[in-house]
Amino acid sequence: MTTITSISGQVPVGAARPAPVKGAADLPLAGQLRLNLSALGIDANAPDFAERLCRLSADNEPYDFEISAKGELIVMPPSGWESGANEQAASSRVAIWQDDNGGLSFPPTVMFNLPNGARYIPDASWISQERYERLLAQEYQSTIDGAPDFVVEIRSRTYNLAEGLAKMQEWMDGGARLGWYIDLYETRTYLFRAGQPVEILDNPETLSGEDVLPGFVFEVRRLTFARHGRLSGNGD
Amino acid sequence: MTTAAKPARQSGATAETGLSLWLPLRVDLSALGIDPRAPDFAERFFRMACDNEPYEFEYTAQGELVVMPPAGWESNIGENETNVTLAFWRRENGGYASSQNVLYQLPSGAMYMPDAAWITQERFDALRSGEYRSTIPGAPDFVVEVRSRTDRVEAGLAKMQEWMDGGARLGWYIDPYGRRVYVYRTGREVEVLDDPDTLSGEDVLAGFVFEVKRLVFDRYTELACR
Repeated sequence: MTTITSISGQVPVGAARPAPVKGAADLPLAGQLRLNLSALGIDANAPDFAERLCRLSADNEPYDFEISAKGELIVMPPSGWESGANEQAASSRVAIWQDDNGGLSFPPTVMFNLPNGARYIPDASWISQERYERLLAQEYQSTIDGAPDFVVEIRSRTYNLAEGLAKMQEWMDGGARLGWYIDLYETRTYLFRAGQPVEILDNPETLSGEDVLPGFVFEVRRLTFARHGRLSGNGD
Repeated sequence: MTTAAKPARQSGATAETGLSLWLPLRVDLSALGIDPRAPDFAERFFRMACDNEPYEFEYTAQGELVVMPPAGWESNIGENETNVTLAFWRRENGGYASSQNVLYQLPSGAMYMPDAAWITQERFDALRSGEYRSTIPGAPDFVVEVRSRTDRVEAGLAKMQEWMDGGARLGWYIDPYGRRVYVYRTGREVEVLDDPDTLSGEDVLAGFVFEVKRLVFDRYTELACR
């Protein structure tokens, strides 16, 4: 029998105990967690909610947060290296195109507020020069109202296909004009165009920005598909 | 040795459970404008927990929401045996005993669910005579926490201290992985019992004896209790 004098929560010296769980690889989340917090009185439609959500993210690193159209808080683990590399491949090419063609492109950290109440962070996105100028003219807010004109989502290990496509549809319903859902697991891209049925490209070599980003060509095979020899363990 | 049953992280959901969460997740929700001091907060919190099965929720004094995955079978051994024994004692001795899913609201604002707990007959009578609330104000008079595979001892002991600071009179932190029990008594130092045979309810639960070795320690997996 031992008596410890400190009750500050410290374990006595020499106590056999397991190694504490630490490190990025040991985050509690293995995928997205959806929480319905409406009973707590959270009003996801309040005018200042988007700013609050940004603060929430800052207060809770390393997690990212989204809000679904149903008002659920979605807690997301940090991107793995694989998703991070793919997101960068896409967003950096859009950024280069933007430098010569105008508008504003974003890395996968910027939140867009959809008309249906959802607030999502796309993997790569771009808004037109006209919208960019409107942003500059208005009072600063951290998030952007409306869907991006162009949006890219890349299927990551923690996303299942049906969820990914449903989110793409929400982007399009929210006003996006062109959307790519790049599925590394099936080496396939789902093309979303405003007012048109979804087109599925099997193992395409390149993707075109069409009339939304004229002249933009993304070498999807070389820059994403080919970088991942064998992928397994997708979100399905 | 408490290697967490860790799923392959390649998958979107843990292989064993299909859940995306396998350890408690703490989220500071204060930016969303939640007021834990609001009179109806406890009821709202209870409803929120009901809306999000199968997860369980606690709320810390610092304003963090703690989201917890459902418990594994092993940690239920300790919780269940304590609750069963406590329930039998309660039948002869009065008061109210609660198992793992009842929320207690501490004066600090924290809302926790102890693994096993008991309040006096007097407090039980007061609960029954007042307007119904889903949660219980104040710490239990007697509180038990059983360490699970994914719990760190430091975190468990800190929580025990919060129970005691909130008014608990007797508390046990049962660590099956270290075969050890930390006994908390109001105003006294924590006593650490190494591999005890039994635990006593002392003057808080007079005559209550819990055979912790036979009912808990000896029934955990060899891996856990080597």
